[in-house]
Amino acid sequence: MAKKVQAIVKLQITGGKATPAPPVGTVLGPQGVNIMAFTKEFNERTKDRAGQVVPVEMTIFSDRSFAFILKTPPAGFLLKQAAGIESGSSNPNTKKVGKVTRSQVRDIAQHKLADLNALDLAAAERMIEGTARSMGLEIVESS
Amino acid sequence: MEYCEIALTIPPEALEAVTDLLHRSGTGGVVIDDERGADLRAYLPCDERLDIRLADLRRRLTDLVEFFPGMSQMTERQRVVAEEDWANAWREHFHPVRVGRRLIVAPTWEPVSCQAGEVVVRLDPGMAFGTGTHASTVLCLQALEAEDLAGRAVLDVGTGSGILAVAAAMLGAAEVTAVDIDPLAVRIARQNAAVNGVSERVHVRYAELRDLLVGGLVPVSFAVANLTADILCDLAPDLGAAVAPGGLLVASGIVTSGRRDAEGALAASGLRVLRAAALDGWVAVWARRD
Repeated sequence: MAKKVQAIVKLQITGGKATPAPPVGTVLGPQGVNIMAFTKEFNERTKDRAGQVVPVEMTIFSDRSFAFILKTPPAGFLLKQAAGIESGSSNPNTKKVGKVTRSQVRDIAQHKLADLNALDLAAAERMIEGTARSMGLEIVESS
Repeated sequence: MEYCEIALTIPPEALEAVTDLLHRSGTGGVVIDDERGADLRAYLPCDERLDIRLADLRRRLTDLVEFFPGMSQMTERQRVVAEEDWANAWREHFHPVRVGRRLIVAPTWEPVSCQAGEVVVRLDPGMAFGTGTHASTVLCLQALEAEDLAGRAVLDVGTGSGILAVAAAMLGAAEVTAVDIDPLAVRIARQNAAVNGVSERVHVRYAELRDLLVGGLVPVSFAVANLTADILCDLAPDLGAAVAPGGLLVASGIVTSGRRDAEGALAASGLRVLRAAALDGWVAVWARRD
């Protein structure tokens, strides 16, 4: 018999380094999930993404057991990779820190489409483009 | 420890930008509810830097209006949450569980009824690993139960809450040596041994496995190591040396994809891999020293 789903929880936490501190503890504790069991399994499964932000979607069942799937890296991470920068601008309105091409934006939108709540590719592209600008990246037609 | 919970309701198109900003603000993670719109929760420690961090975060959120006009409609709520609020919440849901044919793992704070021949392990795991509900622990408990431990010396590597060491003693082991490199786990494992009245036979040591080899406390005829595939690979030579000729090792905590590496490392350490058991994506491996 399939187990009854009690809750779906979406988190973005650091790969290989999850601890019982918030947000892990605050979101899983009240659900009755064994926090240490989650951090052990998450850290083991994300050790090749250690230090990177990893989106995770958890299904918590009524018997307090859980399962989770790991999602594609956040757009911010992919954009930094595409632009070859370490971090985004702290003043994106005035200080630009790099460039990404429109085709890179499209590739990221395509890559993330399944994990974004955007309806279609065009909406996903607008979302990625806005995210890029908010990090101080300029969008250029070609490199 | 107290944390400031920041709850934001934002336009969905700004989700990736705002989560990126929250990560950069040192929140250590974000909880996302995007079923209807986008509700985010993130936490900052209530310390002397909180005011500065919050002010910086607000300024950056305001800046986002230029890129996502809908951000002008963002709502923000704050509240303080205390560690006690969540750290013990899982206890309400920890009830006696039956593992295998005759083992029952039960929280120290709940009455349990059992029949003749059944063995009850009382447990308060605190923040240490091991409540008997995780597949890797279940596989080890079943292995302990299947073995005739009466009068034997048992080793538990990475004892966590002490559940396996205590269960081994309750199942008749004459002497159990348990080690962990986490001082918190050592303290909790000792408490759990005491609660079950097996402190005299369960020796919990704050040590590396290597320290036991040097100290002459091993080899033993039965060892259990509920760790991870990586740690098992690193410790394999020491695990091989900790098992006496003819003795058995049960290595657990292996994710399915790590099985080949773990088995290879054990084989290279003089152990003969006998079989493996799988449960919910986790594997335990039985290996003998000939």
